[in-house]
Amino acid sequence: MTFLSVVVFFPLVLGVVSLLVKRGGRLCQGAAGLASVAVAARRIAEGLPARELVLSGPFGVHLLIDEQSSLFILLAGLVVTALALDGREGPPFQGLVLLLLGACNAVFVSFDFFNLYVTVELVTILAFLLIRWGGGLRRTWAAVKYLMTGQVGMILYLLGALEAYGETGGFSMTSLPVLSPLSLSLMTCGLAVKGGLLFVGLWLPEAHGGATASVSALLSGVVVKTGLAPLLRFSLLEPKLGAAISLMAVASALVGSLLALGEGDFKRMLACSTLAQVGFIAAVPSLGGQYALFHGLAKAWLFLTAGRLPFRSVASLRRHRLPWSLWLSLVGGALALAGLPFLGAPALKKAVETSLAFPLSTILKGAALLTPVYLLRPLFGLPRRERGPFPSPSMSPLFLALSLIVSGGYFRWTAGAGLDVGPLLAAGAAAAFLPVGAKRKILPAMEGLDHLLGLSLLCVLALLFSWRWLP
Amino acid sequence: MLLRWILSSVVLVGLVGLLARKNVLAKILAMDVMNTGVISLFVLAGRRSGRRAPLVGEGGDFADAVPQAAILTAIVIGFATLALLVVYVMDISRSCTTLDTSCIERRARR
Repeated sequence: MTFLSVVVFFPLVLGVVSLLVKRGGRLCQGAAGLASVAVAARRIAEGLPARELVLSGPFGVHLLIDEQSSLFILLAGLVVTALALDGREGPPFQGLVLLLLGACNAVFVSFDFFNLYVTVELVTILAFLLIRWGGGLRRTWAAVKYLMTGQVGMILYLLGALEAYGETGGFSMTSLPVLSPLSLSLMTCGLAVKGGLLFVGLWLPEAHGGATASVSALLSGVVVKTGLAPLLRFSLLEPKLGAAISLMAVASALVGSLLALGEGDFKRMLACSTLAQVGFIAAVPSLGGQYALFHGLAKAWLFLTAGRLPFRSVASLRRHRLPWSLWLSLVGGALALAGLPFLGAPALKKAVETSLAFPLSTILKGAALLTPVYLLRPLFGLPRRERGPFPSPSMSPLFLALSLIVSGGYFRWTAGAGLDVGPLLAAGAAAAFLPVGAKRKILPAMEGLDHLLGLSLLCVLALLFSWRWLP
Repeated sequence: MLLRWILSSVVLVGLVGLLARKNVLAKILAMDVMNTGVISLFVLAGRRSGRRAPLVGEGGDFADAVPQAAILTAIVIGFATLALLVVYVMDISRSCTTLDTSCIERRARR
């Protein structure tokens, strides 16, 4: 219970306080973030057994606090603390972030279909408010598209939950293995929309690429995981559904990497890379929590650094001579995500790839090979002549880098895989020097509202059919 | 059973409206119709075991109160979403002077 009050109620209370007082928001944010980090890290370090809670009575809400939820809570706490260190946005922002932290943590511990619905919707509404932060037509439209796509996904999810209630007489996730394919497909699709899996997650480049840097870091680092964390639980509880989710995940890893390769806008490229990395998270449910922690930290680092750039296009990034601190921070984040030993997680990546069967593991390996190419390409263009006025980078990327190194050391993400990664990184860096001048935006038509809505329905049908075809 | 079919078709009507209409406001309203259909399905699901209100001290065939109690939250969430969406669409229409999705899409991309 102490755990719950620290990770869920404490941020919510602080959020309301800082929304009312309008002062000391950064302090509250840092306190709530660090509190989540402390309790989650303690749970992981002491290896406490999973704990099930029913709040309270026979129709109570089912919660589960296990290692996976601790990993996700750790990630959320770290990213929010980094945002507090960054501290670029004005007063109401911190309050919203604190509320979002509480809501995300509530998603990560819930083990009940209806509680999951409520908390995920809360996260969606807060994220919707944050996407528009800074104003402008582009952001507003991206926010509307995000909310409408998400809402349709959640209506499908509700239908699935109703079906589940009719079949088992309760909303607890323990009854997952006995549910019918229809209800499982509906709920999975609703969560996949939130998690940014292909092809229902195509709202992601517009929303994550368009929002301000702090919001993008939060969205890619934490908010996407609120869809993935329950999906990982689904896959673990029902292996047949897990096979379908892995298929979707590998498809997103490949397509996301290809999209990122052709993207001409730096922040949208990072968002497409999120689309790809989400695939790595969902591909293997037992390693998903760790991979989510790794990806969230590295991607928040990259987004927070990218927010210091005065321009967005890859072409002008290649032309400008950046100050060393900024350039190093960008390259460091890119290399960490690509799998540099000690900073990134090469062993974890390898473990994810090798736990899948033949065709899928090869595709995932190919997607991993593309990661350094698209991430390093904007940073190595030569010659760089133009200089511009650049603000100095803040402390937050340093904090995220440190937490990446510490968690990598704890979970042994680099153990014994350093030699395999060397050639991969070298190939990636070499390819980065090739002049690939992509300036157009890939698939603008697919990102239209109608397509996004239609795709989520097709996803339900595809999942339903996968029941017949998958072994 | 008939009621169930009717409500399911309400969900479908909302879905068709959501996909077929070009106007953002119409899309949002269609989404609300869909949401209302699902909510009514939840209410209906509670009636399977009986019709009477589950009050302490009265016997008989009670309605199942759990789905009805749960769906209250969904009604509130649906309302909040609808209100937020309409406010944002107001903002969009002020700078775009149109509610046509493809027009807004083109302007937003510029």
